[in-house]
Amino acid sequence: MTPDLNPAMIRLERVSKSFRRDGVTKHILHDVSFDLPPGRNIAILGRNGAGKSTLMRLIAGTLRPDRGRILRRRRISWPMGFSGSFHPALTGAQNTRFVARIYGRDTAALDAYVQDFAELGASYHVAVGAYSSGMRARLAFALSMGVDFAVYLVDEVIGVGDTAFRRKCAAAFRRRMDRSRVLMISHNAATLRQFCDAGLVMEAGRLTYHDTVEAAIEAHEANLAISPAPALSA
Amino acid sequence: MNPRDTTHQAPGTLVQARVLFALLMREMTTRFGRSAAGYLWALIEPVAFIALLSLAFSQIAHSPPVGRSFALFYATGYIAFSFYNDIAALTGRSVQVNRPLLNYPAVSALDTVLARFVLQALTGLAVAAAIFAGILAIFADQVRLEPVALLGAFGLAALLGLGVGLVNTTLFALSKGWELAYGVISRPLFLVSAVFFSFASLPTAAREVLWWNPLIHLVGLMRAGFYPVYDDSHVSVLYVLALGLGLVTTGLVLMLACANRLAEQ
Repeated sequence: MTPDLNPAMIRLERVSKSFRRDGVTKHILHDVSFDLPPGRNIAILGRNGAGKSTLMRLIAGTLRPDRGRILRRRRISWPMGFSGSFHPALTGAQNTRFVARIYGRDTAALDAYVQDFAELGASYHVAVGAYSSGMRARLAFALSMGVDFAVYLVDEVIGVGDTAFRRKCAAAFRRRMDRSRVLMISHNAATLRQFCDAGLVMEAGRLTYHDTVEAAIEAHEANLAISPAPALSA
Repeated sequence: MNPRDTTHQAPGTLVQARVLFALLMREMTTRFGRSAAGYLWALIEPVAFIALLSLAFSQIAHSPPVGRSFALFYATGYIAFSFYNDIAALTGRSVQVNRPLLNYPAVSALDTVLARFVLQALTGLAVAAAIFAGILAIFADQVRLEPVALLGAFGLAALLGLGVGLVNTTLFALSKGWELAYGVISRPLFLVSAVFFSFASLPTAAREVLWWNPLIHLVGLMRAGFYPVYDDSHVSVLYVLALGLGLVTTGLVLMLACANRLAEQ
């Protein structure tokens, strides 16, 4: 594997995304083309409502662009803790095996890893529809660690569950950062500085890439100083 | 429209094969469960229905419209009908029952339809083979199997079922009203598809109208595949083929046009 020979780990080609609610159309991305460079841990910054989470879900593939396309050259996780892709009629074990098959993983190995990590006990063999949101999040976290993604998407939360489980999540996540990259949304600048070495600032439907996380944080804070947000022309 | 996602650094065809296999396994666990009883039920239901039809009509008539065995006559009709109908019904709900799985970028709406199509077509073929083999072993009849007609009957029934299912997959997912309406419209189909009568025995006026029911042609082909004396001059392979291909094309276009709404609802 020679990952750095590829021009981009994620490429956005003329991507537009808008939401319509109560007759008002809100443009999140407007005809955006962008290459995310490989090998970097990238912080995503932007004011509230700028569409950071939408961008992340577009990159994950859980949302689809209205126009344009997104090319992924790496195996990219779903946003950490996201459990909306579980089938409620299938058990935790069956959902795990489904994921193993679509990502081309050994089903028995992933099954064993997730069963051990998620600490669901007998519930692992119960339909996910009967899970609490905490149990779902634990299953989702264990699975995303087990699949061994090349890029992890973090939207504010790294760990899930109670304090002990959160600590275990954080430790597993830090170990994984030795060989995987991260795209991270966080309101906590310290967390961004800890994990990221580059930044992407979202403002008025545009993305600006900064080669250091410090430059990105500065640009973001400069944006916040100019209030209110400039409106995006439709 | 997004091309197939190649997230996994594997060729698109390999990814799709993996996804189809995963969906197939997922469908089998919920459809049949983990026991043999689930599979057995797929066989018991049509056997019971054919037995009931045979028993009831053998009280009324001296002999079936074609051949000597009531069981074979109703089996040819019922299996042609249900092979189509089960595929159409099962594939039509593909997206509704699998929607969360569409959150995985590698899984498309079409994959869920194809997985259900493959599973139901194979199940239907196995059930048909078991029932026909059983009937031919138990009841004596003058039968000469015509492989071309049988292939045509099963092939066209599968194509038509896939076409109706594909169109409905998108429409059902977007409109609960259409799903209810379709249920009402399609219910009488069984009564007008020559399952328990012979098309040739109908008055001319009825024949002219019912000829447009594609299931009449499927049943006709199936019976032509068993009975050497059966009159299949009303059967038009071209009509059913054109209708099936037209429905599949319409279904694919609809699905492509509504791909985002299907995945995100």
